Amino acid sequence: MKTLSDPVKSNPYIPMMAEIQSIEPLTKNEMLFRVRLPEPLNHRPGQFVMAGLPGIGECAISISSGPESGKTLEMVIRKVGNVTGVLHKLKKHDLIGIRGPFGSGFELNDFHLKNGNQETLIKDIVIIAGGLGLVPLRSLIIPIMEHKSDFGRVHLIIGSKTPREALFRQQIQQWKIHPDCSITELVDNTDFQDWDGDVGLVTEPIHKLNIIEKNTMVVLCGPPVMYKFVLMEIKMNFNIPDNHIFIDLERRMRCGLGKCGHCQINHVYCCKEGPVFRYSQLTDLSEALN
Amino acid sequence: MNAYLSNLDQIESWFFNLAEKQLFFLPKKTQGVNYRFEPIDHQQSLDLLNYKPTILPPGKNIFPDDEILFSYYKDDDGHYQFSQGVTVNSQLLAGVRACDLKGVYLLDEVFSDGVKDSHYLRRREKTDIIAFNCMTPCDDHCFCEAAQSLDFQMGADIFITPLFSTSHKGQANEEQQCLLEVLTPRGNELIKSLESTECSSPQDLKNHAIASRPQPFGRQFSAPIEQLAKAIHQKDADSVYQQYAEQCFSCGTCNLVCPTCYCFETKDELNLDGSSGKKTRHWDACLSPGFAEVAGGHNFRAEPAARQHHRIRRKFDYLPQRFEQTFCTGCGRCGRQCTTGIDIFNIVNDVYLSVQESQE
Ligand SMILES: Cc1cc2nc3c(=O)[nH]c(=O)nc-3n(C[C@H](O)[C@H](O)[C@H](O)COP(=O)(O)OP(=O)(O)OC[C@H]3O[C@@H](n4cnc5c(N)ncnc54)[C@H](O)[C@@H]3O)c2cc1C
Ligand code: SF4
Ligand code: SF4
Ligand code: FES
Repeated sequence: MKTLSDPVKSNPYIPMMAEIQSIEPLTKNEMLFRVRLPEPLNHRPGQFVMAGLPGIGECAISISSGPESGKTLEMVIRKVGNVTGVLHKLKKHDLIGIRGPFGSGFELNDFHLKNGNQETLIKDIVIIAGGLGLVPLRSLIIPIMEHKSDFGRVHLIIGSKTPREALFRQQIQQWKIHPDCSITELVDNTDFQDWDGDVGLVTEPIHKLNIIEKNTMVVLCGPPVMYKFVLMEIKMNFNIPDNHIFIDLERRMRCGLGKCGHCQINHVYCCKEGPVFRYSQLTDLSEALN
Repeated sequence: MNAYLSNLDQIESWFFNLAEKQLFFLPKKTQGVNYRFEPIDHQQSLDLLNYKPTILPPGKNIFPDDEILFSYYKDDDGHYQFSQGVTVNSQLLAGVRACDLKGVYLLDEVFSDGVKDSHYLRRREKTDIIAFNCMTPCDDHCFCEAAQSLDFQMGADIFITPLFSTSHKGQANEEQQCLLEVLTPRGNELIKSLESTECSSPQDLKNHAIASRPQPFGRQFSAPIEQLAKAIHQKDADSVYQQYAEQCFSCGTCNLVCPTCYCFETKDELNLDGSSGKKTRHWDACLSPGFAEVAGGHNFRAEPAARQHHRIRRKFDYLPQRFEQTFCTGCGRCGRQCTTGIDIFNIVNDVYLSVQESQE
């Protein structure tokens, strides 16, 4: 265990180095990294890691693989700046630094159809992902699909800007064959490309959801602008309690340890108490959804 | 623990003595005006009674800018080898004011909460503190009594209280008796080399000295701090934050000089050989514009008023919720050093008054 007596072991900033097993381009700017860790992460869905290279930098990256992935970790990294730019140049067998897992994440128990006493709990799971928001939510969708009989109906609404940016389309096709699983894929516009899904914003299919309100869990992840409109649409159409709505938030993060202060949302540290929050935890936080 | 009596003259020689054995920091006047914690030198006159708060608080010696978080090199097989990067030397901070002692105490709380910050804690373990109580407010900026840090002594190894009027200047002399309270085993070691007599009734002497201080001691808020904190928590008083934000340059000086600000940015540095380097951390300021900006350019606190609001609530509301202490020690540095004269004392007072007004 961590004690002050061994400086290197008790140093929370030293990453473990993981070997890259494969890198797969998903879109022009996003690549799927599959890496092999020296030891399993034992993460919960929705948690994240700090990924990077010593001497270069690190950034917060969501864990995209399911909780049963063992020593394998999947991440989707979008090239936006310095660190992510360098990570995109890495090749198979190169090493990448990983710290974590960090944050609260989801408890799969909160989504189960029945608990031990055979009491009906959650009949409908609504998951709404905008853009890169699908990446962290995939770590939740995977275990739900793998143990589908433990869960109720699943409604996925997945939005991208254009078909070019749509992620994990093949895997989404496989999810569709599961019983009681409806998936709506949308793009804001087709940008003159082939598209077999719908066109529109992720808010549009919400009113058509066929759900049992008091037994529904809703999960949202996307760009900051998305939340306000999606929440408005949900509130207008359904009566779902605030503690049944989960929101996955992004903030600037440097330490992942609740110390550097960058990720603070009022008094809450997004890296520790988040990035997954119940909406009921956020209603008192003026900075949460701005 | 024990208490001793000694005079200022003897204390000064004791300090010079201690300084020969270890790294010893004391407030020192530099460029004729400002004080800084610097290694003591023999030409120095010690000015223990009258020094004003240093530009940077002594806690920054335990939480230094540019701290190496780790260093590494890649060995011949391409494996990364990590090490702590620095060896930490022991240091003694002397002449620490009660307000700054509280600053250190609060950092102790923060860095031992949750995942332990081994870098801070390792330095702290190797830091001895001899604190020096205040008998007069240092200047028009301080408000330590109102902020409940006057006489604060937790975290010191030895706490010194002058037992005479400190307002007139001059050489240290034998009449200037001081009470030295030893608070830790480490303090017991340190005091051995001081010429002193044991004191049997320290509390009476201390109470007497404290009672002879000017009252009120420094600036006072319009209400007790608990009420202020409540007002700050309850209502956002946007117009007050806005009014101060309009004068603010977002330079971040107020954060950097504050004994309880500890936010940081991290930086990875690669050596020229391309296969070794280090990670360091640097003081950061929540008032600087990019503090809460993420990739893609979204800024969660783009407006200066939002940043000012965050700073005030962090000190009087957010961190107190976690640690049950106000995170402003009333040292007055931010007001003293702000380029445009913005003073946190005025902001919190105005927030309180505006909330009062709106409730009438
Ligand atoms: C919980 C969480 C999960 C995330 N998951 C993913 C994921 O799965 N995949 C993914 O691709 N991304 C994810 N991100 C976003 C990712 O962390 C950022 O894209 C990444 O930090 C960008 O780093 P960079 O060094 O490449 O960019 P930078 O070079 O840092 O530049 C990107 C932007 O960051 C800001 N910035 C960075 N440094 C500074 C500075 N010193 N001063 C001012 N502004 C600065 C600027 O706005 C700049 O435009 C996640 C973020 C969080 C918080
Ligand atoms: S906020 Fe200002 S007065 Fe309060 S502790 Fe910090 S620097 Fe001192
Ligand atoms: S020191 Fe003054 S001007 Fe600079 S950020 Fe602080 S309040 Fe604003
Ligand atoms: S990322 Fe540093 S406090 Fe959350």
